[in-house]
Amino acid sequence: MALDRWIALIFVTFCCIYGYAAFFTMDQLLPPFMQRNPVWPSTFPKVLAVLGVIVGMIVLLGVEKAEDQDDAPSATEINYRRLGDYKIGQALMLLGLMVLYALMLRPAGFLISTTTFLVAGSAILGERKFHVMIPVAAVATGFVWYLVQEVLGIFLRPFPFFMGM
Amino acid sequence: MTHTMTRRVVMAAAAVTLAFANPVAADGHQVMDEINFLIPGGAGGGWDGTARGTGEALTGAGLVGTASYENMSGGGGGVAIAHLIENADSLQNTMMVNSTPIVIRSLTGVFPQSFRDLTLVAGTIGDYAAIVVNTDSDIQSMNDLLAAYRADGMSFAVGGGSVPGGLDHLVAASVMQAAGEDPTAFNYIPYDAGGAAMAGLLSGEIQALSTGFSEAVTLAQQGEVRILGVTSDARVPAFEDAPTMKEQGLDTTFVNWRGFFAAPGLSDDKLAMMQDAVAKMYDTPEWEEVRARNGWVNIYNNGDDFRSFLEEQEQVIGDLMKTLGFL
Amino acid sequence: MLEGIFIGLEAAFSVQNILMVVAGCLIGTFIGMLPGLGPMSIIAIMIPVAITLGDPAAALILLAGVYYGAIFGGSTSSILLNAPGVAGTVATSFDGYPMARKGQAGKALTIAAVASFAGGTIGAILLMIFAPALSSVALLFHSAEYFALMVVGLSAIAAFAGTGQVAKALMMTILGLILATVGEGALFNMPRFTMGMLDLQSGISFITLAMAMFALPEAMFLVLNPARGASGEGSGKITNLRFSREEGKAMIPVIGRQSVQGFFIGVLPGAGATIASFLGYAVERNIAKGEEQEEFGKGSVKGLAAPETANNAACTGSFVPLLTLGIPGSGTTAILLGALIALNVTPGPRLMIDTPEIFWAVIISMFIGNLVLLVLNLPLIPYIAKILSIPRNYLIPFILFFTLMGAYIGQNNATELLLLVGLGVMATIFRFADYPLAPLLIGFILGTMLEDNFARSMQLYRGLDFILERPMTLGLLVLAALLVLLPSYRARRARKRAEGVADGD
Repeated sequence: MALDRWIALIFVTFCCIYGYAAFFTMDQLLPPFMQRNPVWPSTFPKVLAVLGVIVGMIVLLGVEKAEDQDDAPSATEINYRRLGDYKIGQALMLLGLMVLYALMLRPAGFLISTTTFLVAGSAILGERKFHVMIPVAAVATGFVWYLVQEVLGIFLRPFPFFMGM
Repeated sequence: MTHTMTRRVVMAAAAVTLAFANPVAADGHQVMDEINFLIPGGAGGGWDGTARGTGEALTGAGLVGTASYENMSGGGGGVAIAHLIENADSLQNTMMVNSTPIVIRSLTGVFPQSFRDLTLVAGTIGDYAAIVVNTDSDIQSMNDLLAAYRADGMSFAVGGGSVPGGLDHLVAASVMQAAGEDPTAFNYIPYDAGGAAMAGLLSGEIQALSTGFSEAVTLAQQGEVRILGVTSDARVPAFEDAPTMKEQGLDTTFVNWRGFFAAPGLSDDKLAMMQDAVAKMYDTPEWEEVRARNGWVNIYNNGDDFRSFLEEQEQVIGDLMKTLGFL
Repeated sequence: MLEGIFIGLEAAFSVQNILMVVAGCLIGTFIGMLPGLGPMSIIAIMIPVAITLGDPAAALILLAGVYYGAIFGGSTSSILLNAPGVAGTVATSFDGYPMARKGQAGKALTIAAVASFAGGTIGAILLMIFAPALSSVALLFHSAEYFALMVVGLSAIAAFAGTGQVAKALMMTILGLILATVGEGALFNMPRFTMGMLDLQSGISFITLAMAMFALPEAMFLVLNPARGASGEGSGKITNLRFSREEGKAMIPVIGRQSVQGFFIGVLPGAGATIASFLGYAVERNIAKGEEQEEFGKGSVKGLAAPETANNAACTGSFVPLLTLGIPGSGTTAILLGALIALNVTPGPRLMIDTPEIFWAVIISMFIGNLVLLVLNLPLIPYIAKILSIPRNYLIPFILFFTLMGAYIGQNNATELLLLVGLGVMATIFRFADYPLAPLLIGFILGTMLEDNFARSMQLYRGLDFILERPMTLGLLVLAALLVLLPSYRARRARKRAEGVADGD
């Protein structure tokens, strides 16, 4: 089964759960006077869940005749069948780095975590000229922080939490 | 919070404050070195404006050395409240801004905490609520409105810029209740912002609108809407033409306040300093400028007064929400 | 009117004011490029500065510069990085980004600048002539019509339903609509579908979803397949500003139609720039002829010019309810209303009578703002476009950083970033499986308004009667159906004919 059908299957499952929540868990929370309204908070979700299941099934079962897309895939287009040729390791590491960055931002402060993020990001991509990248990252981080915090006055915690501020 | 941003200068209030102005010498009266404002919503919202305006006045008047602002959105304010409680020890100079929704949201259980879990600094500004109709409308008073509602029933639509169970709906429902009507029976049409609701009223889609008083004054002065009743105890000097609900026999008052909270377990010294700074702020020209620019109404409620005010509001809103079936 | 123009010119033209507008445009453009800081937050930030100027005309001119600058700056990140920072520029990225990928970033930015300028200027002319008469137009639409208008807006998804892809595009639209139901809505005071997560309470934020759906997958693709870099295909032309004479000719009718259409949609307080850009895109695509229609979504000049013109014209149009009724139609105009009031100017029906110079100063400031923006930015475009030729090892970490910053600045909520990465991974997988993501975002943006307006209409009319009782609602719904069905009917007939020919051979 092709990837798009797997996604459709997951989508149909998701719609069933969503629909269950809409049909069976929402209405008892509704105060009696709102039950007189023609549209309830659960109405739209119910409709969407049903439509979602129908459309998802159409994709899943391949009812719609797909055009043959056998034009030779261009070198720059992306195709999951060529996943093996791609730098998937780099991509996964960058995703991991982004998660790490999100978790670090508050405890470690903006300046340290952003500089680290930028340097580590380029290192993952194969950059080895750290004597260039580290100053570039530090200056850029400082610039963004100065612009956001000092010029615009939008709070951005610069230093680790334990250093106050 | 959109409709709180469209607040209007309520000029007469300025005159009142100026009359009592007791010039505090700016220099040498510094009460605190620094204050960190914790804002439970994003930059540019109503809470953000309140905190920044207050900070501007406090530092400008020399009452506080430096002010900093930290936005922390999420969970309708719940994330910031939890943060203030968890890190209470390290947040000794922090004041969190909040407003009436903290009462409503803790009642409905959006977040588990309530104002009781925090140290109350002061309620600082506020706005009344009002019921308005289009100037073209035949309805001249609250009695006319009630008569029209009794005649038309469900086809008499009252709009508001909040969800059912939100501020504007609660005000309209309490007015109905005060008139001896069933507060759950009228047709309340929710809009997602005060501006959209006002457009709905002017376009004739709804017959009456429950909205913030200062917002209503702006349009009333332009001759677009008629204010039928305001939820204050006495007529508001800013717009004497607007009758109160009380004088029309509807015993209901309501203030949508904004104020400041501090971390739980704050030392009495610190709290006294914060309250002192806020109290002194009212007499400064710097505050007057900020207040006038934003169209805020001074409603000062210190410490214990603030607590009893909040408890009363919680009681009133809680009872109403039970009647409506939300709790 | 002439007299008014002179009053406005007198108020607007001084060395100080010209400096103001230049400063405003520059500040707006640069800050607007940062995703997450749209016109609304930039104006909110600039208001204290503007107010200290004291003079309402000078303050308005500064703010107008900032406003137009921020809109243009927002288009820049949509075009270069596929990172629409505000909802109004989502449609810009539909064709702007593919153009940039073809190595025509400079051209795309020029088209955006020219279209914005034209939309803003024509809008200002319409505002100048018709503003007082338009206050009634602004009140013409009830919730029922807004509902129908959202349905017309949804028909823009047809542009992404290629042959054999209709069900996929629909599936993505439904997913977008489903995501829009998460969190607090206008219908009920309890949030829906938050699964107990405090961070979903206020719903998924637009910027998080836009970055996750558009910017992050693109950045991931750049990582996965180094050959995809823009510099790889366009070999040095990316700083080229020119568009050809034919392209210019193709753009003129689009700009003409969309500045008028966009303006009128902007006049409606419940619609605004985002709806205008989607409708502009949908209408232009559907009236385009066969080949040109195929181009939409792949880097069409028309597809870029349409939303850019429409959203600028709509921004200008939104001043009609603001100035003539005192009603803010959008977050940005709500903030502007606050600024006007702080300057002791009360917008409303009496504005034109009591303080006509303010009205004219606003109009003149729009003309100046638009013009200065064009003059300032055209020379800057080559440098802005060069961003794409930064070596990959440096560029990609910065793109990722800006993608994340958009959701973080001003909110300081790190959980939002985790949500962004999660949704981004999902979006990347969708892209691998050929699911179009634009319908998801369109569904998400329109979903809330669709549901709210439908629910309101139902509650006002106690049923579906409003569709029949309000002719305009019915008309708009029919229009939506035509916009969706006509092109596919035409395409099918064309295909049938082509097949017939092939069979005959």
